[in-house]
Amino acid sequence: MEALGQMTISIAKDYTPKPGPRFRKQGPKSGEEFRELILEPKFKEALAKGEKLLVDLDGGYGYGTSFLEETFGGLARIHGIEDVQKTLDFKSEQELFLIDDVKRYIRDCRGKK
Amino acid sequence: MLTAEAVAAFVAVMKNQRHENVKISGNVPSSPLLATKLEDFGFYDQVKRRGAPIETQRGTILLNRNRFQLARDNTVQSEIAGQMVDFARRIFPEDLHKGVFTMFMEATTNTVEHGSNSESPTQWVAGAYYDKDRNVMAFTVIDQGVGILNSVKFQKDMRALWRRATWSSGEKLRQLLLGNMRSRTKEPHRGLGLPGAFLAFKAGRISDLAIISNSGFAHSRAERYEELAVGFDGTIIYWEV
Repeated sequence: MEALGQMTISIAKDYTPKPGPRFRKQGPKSGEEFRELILEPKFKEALAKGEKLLVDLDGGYGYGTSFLEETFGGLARIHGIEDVQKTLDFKSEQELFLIDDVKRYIRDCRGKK
Repeated sequence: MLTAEAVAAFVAVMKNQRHENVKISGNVPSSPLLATKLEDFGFYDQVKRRGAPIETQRGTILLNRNRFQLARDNTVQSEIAGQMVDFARRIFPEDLHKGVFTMFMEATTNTVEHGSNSESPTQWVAGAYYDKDRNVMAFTVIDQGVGILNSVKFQKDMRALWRRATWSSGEKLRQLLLGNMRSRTKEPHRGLGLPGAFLAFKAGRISDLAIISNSGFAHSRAERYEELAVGFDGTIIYWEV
């Protein structure tokens, strides 16, 4: 159940437990497809409502770095780092380092400074 | 000694599009042990014997045996990565699986991104093998593309670094694994995969990582980064858990 003022997406349950490559052209279940079909609509809704969107990274087989970078870095490239940082929260109990990785992809979405 | 990685390499060479019209023939080895190993590793299932060749579908494992799995494609197939994980799960505890999935994705992404300098896709062949004697799972992804070091993308990204030093091919691979390509190019799209694989090794999520590409050899566990006397036309990425 979603907490009041917080929406939730589970990549494993809402998209796939076996996330694919960066781009659609590279193979199925890509980060590009997930961002466009699932993450971006929820992100826009949360941003408009001033709510948090919790992204649950647990429950799947794992991730390639390209999937995560395209999903979250890609979102920040489109909507701006600040809005993405203030709207998205992350849960990753199975692989703790993933949260730091994803936050870095958002921060460095236009290349490392 | 014949290993599963070598069989995967044989299959990669035989199934290379460049060799489509080349007739490859050979005899069954005279050594019964070698013949049995080839049979076990599914080598004969991959060659055209008398009769129709085996038809295969994308996103599926070609061969699924008790101790060996083989797959090939020219796109990144997370479904196959998942099947490799399921294969490992039968033998090893849960906490190793995410390293296997991530490595498979990084290795096949490397082929798709760096295997070709044109629009034509490059095929990879992957093998997963349980080595009972050493109690390790060994994974190999092999392609016969242009190789990482001859990839136009890689050369462009590394140009600034290469101007400053005359490095061996092994050192170039080390620089790639350390992630120096990405920091130099300031490109978020570039150079995440193999540095991510190296971090997985450093973090203990995989127990070994070795790469052969063109004339470069990188072996993370042994900390060896060398120039090979005889190179390989393509890339081999090997890891163990």
